[in-house]
Amino acid sequence: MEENEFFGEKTFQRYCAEFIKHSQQIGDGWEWRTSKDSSDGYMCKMHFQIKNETVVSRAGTSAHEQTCLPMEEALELPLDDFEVTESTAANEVIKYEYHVLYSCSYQVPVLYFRASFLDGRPLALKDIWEGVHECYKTRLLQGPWDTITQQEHPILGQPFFVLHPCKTNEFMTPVLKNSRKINRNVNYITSWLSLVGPVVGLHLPLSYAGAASQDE
Amino acid sequence: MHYPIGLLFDLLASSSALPWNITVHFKSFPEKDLLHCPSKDAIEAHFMSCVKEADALKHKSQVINEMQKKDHKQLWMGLQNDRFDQFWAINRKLMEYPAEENGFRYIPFRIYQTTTERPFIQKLFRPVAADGQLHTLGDLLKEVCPSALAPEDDSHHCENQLLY
Repeated sequence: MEENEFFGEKTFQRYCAEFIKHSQQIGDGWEWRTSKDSSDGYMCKMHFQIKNETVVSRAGTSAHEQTCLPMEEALELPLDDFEVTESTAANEVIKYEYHVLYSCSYQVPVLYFRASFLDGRPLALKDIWEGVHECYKTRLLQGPWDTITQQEHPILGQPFFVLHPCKTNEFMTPVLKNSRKINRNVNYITSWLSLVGPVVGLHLPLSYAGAASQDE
Repeated sequence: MHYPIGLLFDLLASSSALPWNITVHFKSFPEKDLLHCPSKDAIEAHFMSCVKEADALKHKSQVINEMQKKDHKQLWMGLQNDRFDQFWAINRKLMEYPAEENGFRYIPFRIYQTTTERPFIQKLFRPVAADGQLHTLGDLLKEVCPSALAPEDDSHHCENQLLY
């Protein structure tokens, strides 16, 4: 039994294969891409979000609200929720591309992502920081440069945003230790992605958890 | 392509005298290909991120994590202000390894190539072989980038040991 939850690239690929199998079953859109020049690869998924900004003026105070909704949910909301007085509403569709790669330096998975408007204009780091959900904002503001930065994608070479991996082992170890205690099988990728994904707008349907326990 | 400044100089201007004169452009930034450098903080963050990753390879991050924030700051400021003694006071610790080991856990290296989409080759590589022999640069190239060596070459050309 390992003290720290490190694993090698082969194990990473195995967890990803299991993860993608479930993704295919529920139509969640993840796929595996192999690099052109070697056997390594990564998981990737594209999705679209509506960024809905409304400014509400009420009795001298003004509140700035920003919510990110998956497109389907946004369309189902009754019109009342969008009605405001004295407001400017700008609905922008943002295309997100998420990649899960393996870092051999830290021996953990790493989440890379990029975001652009439909016309191809990329979002800036500042926009990404601003888009982080309120409940993660405090942590981000403590050390924005330690949390989300921009780097070259190790396989594609293009600029991507990255969730810094140096703390991954720290938060994954207790999660996996606890699962082992109650004899529950976990897919590292599923657990890890369900923890870090929401910080940058990526959510996993609960059925992934069920699938992970059934494996092996 | 994000090559380190030293590599850029070797590729483009190795015969020039220092200081290296460059032309800076302010229009048509290639958004899809290059990272923005919005501030000095971005450079510091990138530098520290590289140092941390190197220490993850060399010492499982133990040395860098034991340092205080002010030590990290001193490392960066020493580099930024060209103060070698200030820089080395901290960097020296990152270059040490316990007497009972033969070297770092893994050697931090990156091999940049112009012909591939992949920006660089970076893999795990130990400084010492299983039989206790120190690995050389030639051994590294043979294992991770054999195309860099001409077919008739052998490691005799690259005897430099990887520890420095």
